[in-house]
Amino acid sequence: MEQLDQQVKLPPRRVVAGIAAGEPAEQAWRTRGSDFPLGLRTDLLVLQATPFCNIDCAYCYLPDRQNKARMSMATLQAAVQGLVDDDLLAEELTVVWHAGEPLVLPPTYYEEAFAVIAAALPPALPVTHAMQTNATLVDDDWCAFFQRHHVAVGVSVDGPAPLHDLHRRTRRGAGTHATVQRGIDCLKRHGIGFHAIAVVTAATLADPDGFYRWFEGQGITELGCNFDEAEGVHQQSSLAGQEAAHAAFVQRLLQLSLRGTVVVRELAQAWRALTAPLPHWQWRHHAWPRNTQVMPLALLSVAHNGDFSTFSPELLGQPSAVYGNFVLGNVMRSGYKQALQGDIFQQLWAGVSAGVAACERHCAYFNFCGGGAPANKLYELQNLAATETLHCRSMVQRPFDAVLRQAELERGLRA
Amino acid sequence: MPSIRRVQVLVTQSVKRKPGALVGQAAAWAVVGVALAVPTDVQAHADFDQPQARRDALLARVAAVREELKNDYSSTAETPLLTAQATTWTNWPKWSKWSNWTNK
Repeated sequence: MEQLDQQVKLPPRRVVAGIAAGEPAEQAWRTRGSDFPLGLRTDLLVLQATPFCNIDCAYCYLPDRQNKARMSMATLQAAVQGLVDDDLLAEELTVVWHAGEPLVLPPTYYEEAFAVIAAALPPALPVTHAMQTNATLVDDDWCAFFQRHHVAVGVSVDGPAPLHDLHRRTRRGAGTHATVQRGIDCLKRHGIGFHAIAVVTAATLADPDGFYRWFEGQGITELGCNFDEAEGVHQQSSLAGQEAAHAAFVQRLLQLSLRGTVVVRELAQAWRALTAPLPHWQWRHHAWPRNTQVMPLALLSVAHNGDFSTFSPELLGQPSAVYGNFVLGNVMRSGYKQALQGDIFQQLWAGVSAGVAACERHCAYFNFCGGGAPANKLYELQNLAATETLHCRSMVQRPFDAVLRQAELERGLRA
Repeated sequence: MPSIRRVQVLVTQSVKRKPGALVGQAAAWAVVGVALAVPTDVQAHADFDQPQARRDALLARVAAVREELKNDYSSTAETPLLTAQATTWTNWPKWSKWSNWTNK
């Protein structure tokens, strides 16, 4: 358990924009971030080597994916050194190369980048590099690189070609499934294990069996389902209004995975939440179930130009006049903890923590979730302090309901 | 189905608006009669809309399952499918790193 509350010293009250003076005592968590003690730890660092992506998926939330800029080694060094200088390193660190297609840069870029990171971090710290790729550029050289550095590879693929090619297309509108399949075949030829992440849209709901069997046929054993969500420039989820069909899909996916070889991440997470309480973290003597998307600095996102943010990674780089594009600072000019003193963080934290408190008051699933996803609250409901979203229902609640119901049936707790 | 409390409020408001309207009062009390005749489990369902009631119900179900899971079925031929299969789900360290964040 993270004891964020140790030695909390309340700072002088300071009113931030949008929050009225004279607020009641129970709203005191809205005050400055300087009362965050030194217990904050980062265990997930999301790095945007480049915002560029070589394909143009219909549901992508990234606004700048034609930009071919890349993160300089000086920026990368500052991003990692900042974790050390601010004493933010947890017992291990996962570095995710994401928010753009990482493989559009050559392996030599990452050879240098990995060396820069290793030089900046304590030698004994376990570091895992992870890359989420569309697999269209995977070749023998990349496979050799993955093996050399034990990279955790995730492939973004939506299942059978007709489903995949509905949304995952080139800029000229051509489907990418055949190219992705070549990349997957290359990974398998080299014996590289990987997980898959599929975006499940309304079109997927009609045939859960075909969807599941495709991954099984590929020999893929770990599948994350990202149920289509409204985020950033992708403003409307295809699942809106499809909730009954979604519930049936999740239920069928559970039945398939109980007898099949593909483990579905959302169901596995639901099982974990069902069988054991989430670990808790504390702030101002109040314990909340751990949810890295609402914990300051637990998850850090650094853009190619050094801009950084925390909470939901999808927020960084999104235009927002109210939240200053969600940029808390730049690694070349400010430290991470220093950024907690800034007005942008204050605005964000006021909204995020109010949202968690609202979830705690109103949501039956709070103990199994810890407060939802700020990005989805903002893009679905235009309010960080909101509670239940479509994303909550599709990613957390229905998988949890399905697993709970199945457990009750098997144990004779339900007829 | 409205709760009894809600019906009581409606009746009170109705009487205040037209204190002399006996017909209105009679009609309102008839509604109360219908509400009182509704089985208690249906009344309980109305209360179920309250967040705390929903949470308590869900937590009770989870607690019951956790209690049941303490029973070891592994030595019998009737190992519950979910328990058997999900054992491997629990031992899946990769996802613990990605918990609560699902990247595309």
